[in-house]
Amino acid sequence: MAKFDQNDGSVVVVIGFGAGGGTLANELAQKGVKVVCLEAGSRLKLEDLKNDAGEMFGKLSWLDTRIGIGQLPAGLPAWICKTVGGTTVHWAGASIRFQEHEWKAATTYGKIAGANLLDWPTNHGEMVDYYSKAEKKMGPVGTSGSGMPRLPGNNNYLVMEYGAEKLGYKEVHTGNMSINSQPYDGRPGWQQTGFCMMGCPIGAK
Amino acid sequence: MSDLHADHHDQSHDSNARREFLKQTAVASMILGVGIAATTPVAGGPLKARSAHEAQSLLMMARTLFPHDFLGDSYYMNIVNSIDAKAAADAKAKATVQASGQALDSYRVKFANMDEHSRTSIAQSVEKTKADFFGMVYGETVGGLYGNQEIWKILGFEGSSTEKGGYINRGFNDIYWLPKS
Repeated sequence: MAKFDQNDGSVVVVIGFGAGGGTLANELAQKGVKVVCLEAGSRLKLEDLKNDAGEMFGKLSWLDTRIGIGQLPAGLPAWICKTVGGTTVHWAGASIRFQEHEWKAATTYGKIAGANLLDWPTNHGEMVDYYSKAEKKMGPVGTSGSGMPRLPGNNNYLVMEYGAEKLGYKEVHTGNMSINSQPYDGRPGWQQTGFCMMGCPIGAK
Repeated sequence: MSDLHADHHDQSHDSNARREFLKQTAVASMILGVGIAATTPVAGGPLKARSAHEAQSLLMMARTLFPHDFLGDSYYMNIVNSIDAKAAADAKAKATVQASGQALDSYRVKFANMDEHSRTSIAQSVEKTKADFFGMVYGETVGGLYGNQEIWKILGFEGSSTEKGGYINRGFNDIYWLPKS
C-alpha cells in the first residue's frame, strides 16, 4: 500500500469505497491523481460471504450504537454495511436512470402542500454521458453500456409480468440490475443464488 | 374461556384475529407457502430462571406472535430456553421477563390455557404496555423460528444455494399454471 506524507496537499481522500467512492477513486487514480480511500470495517473475501441471513447480518452490519435525535425505536442498528465496499456489498443492484421529468420534480408536479419538491440543478442532457460511463463500469444488464441481456425472471416475476401485461403495460421486464447475466468484466454470470443482500459469493454483482 | 371476553370465540373468529394481528405486526412473507404437518414432543431442557408455569406462558406468547400450528412445542421451547438463558445471565433481561410475567398471568385463567383470541388481545396490549418484553419475545421468536434450519425444511425454504450452483437450474422459474399470455 502506498504511503503519503500527511502534509501532502495533492492527495485526494475518498471516504467510503462503495459503488460511488470506489468508482471515483478508481477514475482519479487512472488519471494519475494520488488517492487514499478510507473505509470502516474489515475486508471480506468472496469465500467469507455465506448464504445465511443471520451470519451475514453479523459480518456485514454496522453494529455500533445508533446516535441520533428523535425516536430511534428499532433496537437494531441501521442495516448498512461496515466492511470494505460498504453498503454496496448488500446492494441488490438496481441501476435505474432518472427519467427526464424526474430531474425537475417541482416543475413537473407543481406546488404540493406539505412537500418541498425542487428541480435538480442539472438535467438529463447534462447527465446522460455520465450515466453511460457509469453503466459501462458497473455493467447493469439491459443497457448499451454493458451489452448484456436482462436477467430471466423468477416465479414471482412471471406472475407479476402476466398481471402487468393484462393491465396493459407495454414495457415489463426484470430491470437494469448490476448483476452479470453472463460473464462480464472478469466476473462470472449469475446463478440465481437468491442471497444478494448477503453479498454475492461468486462476485456476479 | 378467559375472563376477558364473555362471549365464545369460534375458530373462524380466532383466525380473523390472527390474520389481523399478523398484518399489524408486519410478519415477513417468508412464512407463506406452507403445507406440511410436523409435530415433535416437547424437549424441555433445564430452566435456569423460569418456573415451568412461566415457561409455558412464554411458550404460548411466542406461539401467539407466530402461530404455526404445524410446529410442535419443542420448536417454541427452544425460544423459551434462549430467553431463559438470557434472563439467567443478565439482571436487566431477568427483570424484563419477570415484570411481564404479571402482564400475561394476572388473569383468572392462565395465559397458556386461554383461547387464541384472548391471547392475541393480551399480546396486543403487552405490545404497548410492556414494549421491552414484547420486543424481546418477538426478536427471539423471529430468530428462533426462522433462523432454525430444521424449520426451513418444514417451510420448504431450501436455503444456501451457492454450493449447488444457485437456483438457476433448480426451479426458480418453474411454475406451470400460469396461462400463456
